[in-house]
Amino acid sequence: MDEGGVQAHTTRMRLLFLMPLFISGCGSLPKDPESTLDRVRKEGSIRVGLVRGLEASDKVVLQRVLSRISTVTEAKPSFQVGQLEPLLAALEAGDLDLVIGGRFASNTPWKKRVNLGAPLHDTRTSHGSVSGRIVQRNGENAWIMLIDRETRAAQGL
Amino acid sequence: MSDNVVPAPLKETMRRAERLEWWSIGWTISVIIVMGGAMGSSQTMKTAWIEDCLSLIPPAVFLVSARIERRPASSRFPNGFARAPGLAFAIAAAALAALGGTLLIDSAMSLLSREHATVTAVHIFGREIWLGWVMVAAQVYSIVVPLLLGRMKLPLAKELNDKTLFTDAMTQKANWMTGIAGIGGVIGIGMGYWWADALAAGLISLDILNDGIRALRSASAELVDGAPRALDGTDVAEDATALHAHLDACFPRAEIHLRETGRFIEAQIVGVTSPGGTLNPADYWPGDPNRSWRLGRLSFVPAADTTGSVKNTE
Repeated sequence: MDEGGVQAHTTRMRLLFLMPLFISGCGSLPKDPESTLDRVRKEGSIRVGLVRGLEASDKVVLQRVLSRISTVTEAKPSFQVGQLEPLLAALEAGDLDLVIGGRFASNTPWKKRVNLGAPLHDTRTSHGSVSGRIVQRNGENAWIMLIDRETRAAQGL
Repeated sequence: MSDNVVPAPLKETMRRAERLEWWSIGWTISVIIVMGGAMGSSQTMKTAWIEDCLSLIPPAVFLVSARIERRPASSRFPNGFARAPGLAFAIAAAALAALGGTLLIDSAMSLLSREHATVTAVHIFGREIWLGWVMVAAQVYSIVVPLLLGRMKLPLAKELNDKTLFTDAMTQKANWMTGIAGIGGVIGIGMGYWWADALAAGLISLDILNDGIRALRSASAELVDGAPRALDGTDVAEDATALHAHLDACFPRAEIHLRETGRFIEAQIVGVTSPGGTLNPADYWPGDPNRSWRLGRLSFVPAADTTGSVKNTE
C-alpha cells in the first residue's frame, strides 16, 4: 500500500474508534421510536391496561411498581380494564402504554409481538409454570428500560 | 514439472498461509462468541453475527483444500487435485449467495412489517448499561480482527496466486463497511429510528450476497475452463495475457489455449506437435523467472483432420 493509502487508512481507523465516543456525547440513548416516555411525561398520564380479575397476591407488587413509575415520570395511571388479548392488541397498536396483571407461559407466542418484562411472580400450574409480567410495546426502549428499572427496585433487586 | 503440488519456492509461504488461516479461525470464533453474547433481539446484530459465522468458511475451505491439493495423482484422478479448491469454493460461494439472499428478504420483511427492535438494558457488575453500547463494542471488535487478518493474508494470497485466500482476504478487508453499517443500525435504534435496524441488516445481507456472487464468479471461470482470471477481478490475468502473446510468437501457426488449474496455468498449443526433446515449461515463461511455476503444464495437440481422426503432422 502506498503512503497516501496508509494515511487514509489510519484516518479511517481513528474515525472508527472515535465514533462511539462521539455519539455517546450526543445525549442519552436510547430514545423511543414512538415517543412513549416523552408523551407520558408531557401529558402526565400513563395509559394502563389492567387484566380483569387481578389476584390479590399480584396486587401488592403491581401497586408498588406503578407508584414508583408514577413518581419518576410525574404521571398518573389511567386504567382500562379488559381481557388479556384485547389489551395486548391495543398495546401493540399504541393505544396503551402498559398492560399489567397478565400471566404468561415462558414460550408464549406474544413474546415476539410485545415486550414481556421480567417475571414478577411464578405460579405453578399442571401444565408448567406461568409468570406475571408487565408488558410494553416493542421497541420503546427508553420506556421499557424505565419500567424494568422500577420493577427491579420495587422487588428490592 | 511441478505437477499440481505446491512448487518448492512457495512451500514456506504456503505453510505461513496455513498457519495464518488456523489463527484466523481461532480469532473468528472469538468474534462469533463476543457478537453472540451481545446479540439481543436486533436484526442487525443477528445478520452481522451470521456474517461472522460465514467468514469461517473461506479459511476452512483453504485448509481442507490445501491438504487435498497435496495428494498425488492416481489412476482414478490422473490430473491430480489442483481443482478441488475450486469446486469447494464454488459450493461455498453458492451457499453464501443463497444465505445473503435469504437474509435480505428477511430484513425487507421486517422493514415492511414495521418491526420495532427492543434493545434494553443489561446489568453488568450491578450497573445498568444500555445493551446497544455493548453491541457497538462487540461490533468494533468484529471490525478490527478481520481487518488485521485480511491485511496479513493479502500478500500471501498474491504470492501463492490463491483465489480462496485472496477472496478471503478481500472479504475481511472490506468487512469494516458492514461493521459501520452494523454500528449505525444499533445507534439508529438508540436514537429512536425503528427502521435503522432492518435497514442496516439489509445492507449487511447485501454485502454477504455480493461476497457470494463475487466468489462464485471467480470460482466458476476456472470450473468452465475459462482463460486464467486476475485474482482481483473477472478480467484475464496479466501474466496469462503476456504468456499468450509469448506462445503466439513461439508457435505462430498454432492456436493457444490457456486455462487455469488451481494456482497453475495450463497451456495447450493446438495445431502443432511438440518440438521434441525434453521440455521445461519454465523456458516458455515470459515474465519474472521466480513466477515461472505458474505455467504448470504445456501440451501440444496436433491438428485434427476433417473426419475427426488425429493426423500426425510429423
